[in-house]
Amino acid sequence: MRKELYDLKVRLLGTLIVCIALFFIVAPFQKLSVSLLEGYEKIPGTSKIMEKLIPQGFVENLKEWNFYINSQWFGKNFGQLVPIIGIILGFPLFASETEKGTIQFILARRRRLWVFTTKSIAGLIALLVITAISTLLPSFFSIVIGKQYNHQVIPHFFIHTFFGSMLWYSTSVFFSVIADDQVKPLIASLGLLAATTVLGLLKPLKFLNTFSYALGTDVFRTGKANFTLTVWMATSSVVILLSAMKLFENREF
Amino acid sequence: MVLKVENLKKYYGKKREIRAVDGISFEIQEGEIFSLLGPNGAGKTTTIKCILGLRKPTSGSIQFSGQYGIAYVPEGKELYENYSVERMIATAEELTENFDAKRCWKLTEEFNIPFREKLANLSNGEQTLLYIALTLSQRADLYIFDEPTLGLDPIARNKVLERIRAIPIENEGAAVLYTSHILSEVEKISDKVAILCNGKIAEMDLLDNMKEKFCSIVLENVKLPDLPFIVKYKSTSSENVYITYRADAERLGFECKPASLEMVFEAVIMNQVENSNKG
Amino acid sequence: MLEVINLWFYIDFHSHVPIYQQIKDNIKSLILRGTFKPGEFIPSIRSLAHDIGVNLNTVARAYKELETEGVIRAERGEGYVVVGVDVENLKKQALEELRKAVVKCVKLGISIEELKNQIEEVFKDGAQG
Repeated sequence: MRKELYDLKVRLLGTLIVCIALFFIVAPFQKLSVSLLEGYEKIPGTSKIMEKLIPQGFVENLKEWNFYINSQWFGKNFGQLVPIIGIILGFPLFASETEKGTIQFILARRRRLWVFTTKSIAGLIALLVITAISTLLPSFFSIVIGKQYNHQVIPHFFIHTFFGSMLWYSTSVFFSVIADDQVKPLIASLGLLAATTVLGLLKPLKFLNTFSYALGTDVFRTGKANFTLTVWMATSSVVILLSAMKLFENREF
Repeated sequence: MVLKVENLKKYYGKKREIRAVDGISFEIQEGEIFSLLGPNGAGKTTTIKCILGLRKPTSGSIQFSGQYGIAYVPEGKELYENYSVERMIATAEELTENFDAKRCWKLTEEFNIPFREKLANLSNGEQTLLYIALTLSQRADLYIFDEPTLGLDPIARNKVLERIRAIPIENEGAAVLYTSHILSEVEKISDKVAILCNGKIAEMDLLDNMKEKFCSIVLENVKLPDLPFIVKYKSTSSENVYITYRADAERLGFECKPASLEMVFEAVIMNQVENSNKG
Repeated sequence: MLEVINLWFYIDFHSHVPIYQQIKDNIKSLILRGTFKPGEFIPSIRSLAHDIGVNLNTVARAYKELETEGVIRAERGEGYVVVGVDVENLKKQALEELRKAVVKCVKLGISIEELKNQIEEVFKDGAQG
């Protein structure tokens, strides 16, 4: 496990830094965003277009801290990264060892089941760390700057971000196991993410859009995690990981 | 017995038309240094990968018996290039059962590997030596080396060969499976040799027996005697030199001259290629 | 006082003479020269293999054959002890080889006088040639 965590270190820290940096681009600028939007409304002629683009009362809502930070952080900036974080952590796990030939070094020393579980769990730990810290950021920030914040939504958002990224983590692990190089699993995962999102725009295929879950829309609306969807996400992730394990056990190197 | 391979086959391709390994059988005993010798593409690496379970045999059986397991140096000697030598050794210690880190440090010193350096900054030869040091520090029942001396200078090569030879002396009951296409190395350290060609074992015996088994005979341009094994090695204007079994040559009253292993190796492979072309 | 015996001998891996045969020949000559005396232990398989840089199995094979020939015998659990080289047998073999050489000489038309001269010369020099 030590080796796997060392191998993940750069990606873990890099992703974490990006997330934290992103937070500090978003969080401190509530007033600026509100005044910008209000400014647009005052320009004659634009107000009609703006009315169509921005739902009524949106600017008023943005003045409220909970609404602002939850919608801008979970519902937008960090939320959009959630599936991609999963892919970033998953895609090189096996493919980089296959590509470089170092997989032989491990497989000559450990059983395949051990190799698979150690690697996947190490990746999941990294995923847990990143999603947990990123989810907690609004909470910490509110305390530090002394703003009123409803901390109870944090565990619910966490469930959505963690399982939302885990689905894509599992998918990229799957591609990582079957690939010979690192580029293929990255492209395949991103391609699949794009394809399901686009197809999810069509009404009958709405369930394919994994972003609505990852962004925590339900938490935003109801204040609670969507239990059914969470079970779906978790089961699909586990099924994908198990099939990746099966493939790994039988693959030739 | 440490390893027993029986009728191993590994075919590739949609119609299984590529026969990388085509019915190989051999045994390796405790304390034995066994060499797979053969030209590139003969099936040596595929055989090894099947033994290690990295590839699944098309058919045949592989039995390994031992308490420690198999240590392995792959042909490519691929290690983690972004690690330092220190971290690489620590990683090997983490992943390898029965690993002696102290011994590994001694070997790295003996092989003159700079241990603070990143692996990416080591030369190919140094990386190979490091891989060998890592493998020699592992207690195993069978040590598999796939072309271990590739890219080493003569001094390093001799050091490695001496270390490989010492494996059964230093580790009670341990055996070595070694592949090479360099005859002079095989000659120096092997007990038993299997000459591999086109996925088949063309000849297999104790090295000492092989030297006694074959001889060369000189014939003027006459009709060839009908013998189970006779291969033309060289021809001059009036005479031809053939390699054949000593027993056959003596029975027919030819004057037997010694045949070097190079001659035997070449003859065995030529014979195998000819036979497979006929078939 | 420790007696230092130089046991090392050179093995030609490239030779067409099998390695176990080279070991046997060398051990026999060490016995004939008196380096190993009857009743004494010869080096263990392991240490000889290490010293001359030869595989365990090869040394084991040489020792086993020397044992069947009665040159050495296994002392249970302790190693191998020199019995002695059958000098009579070696003499017989040497004479046999000489005979072959003489036949070759006669075929080449060398006279008996010339052969006698050669033999006398060898004896004069003290059998060093």
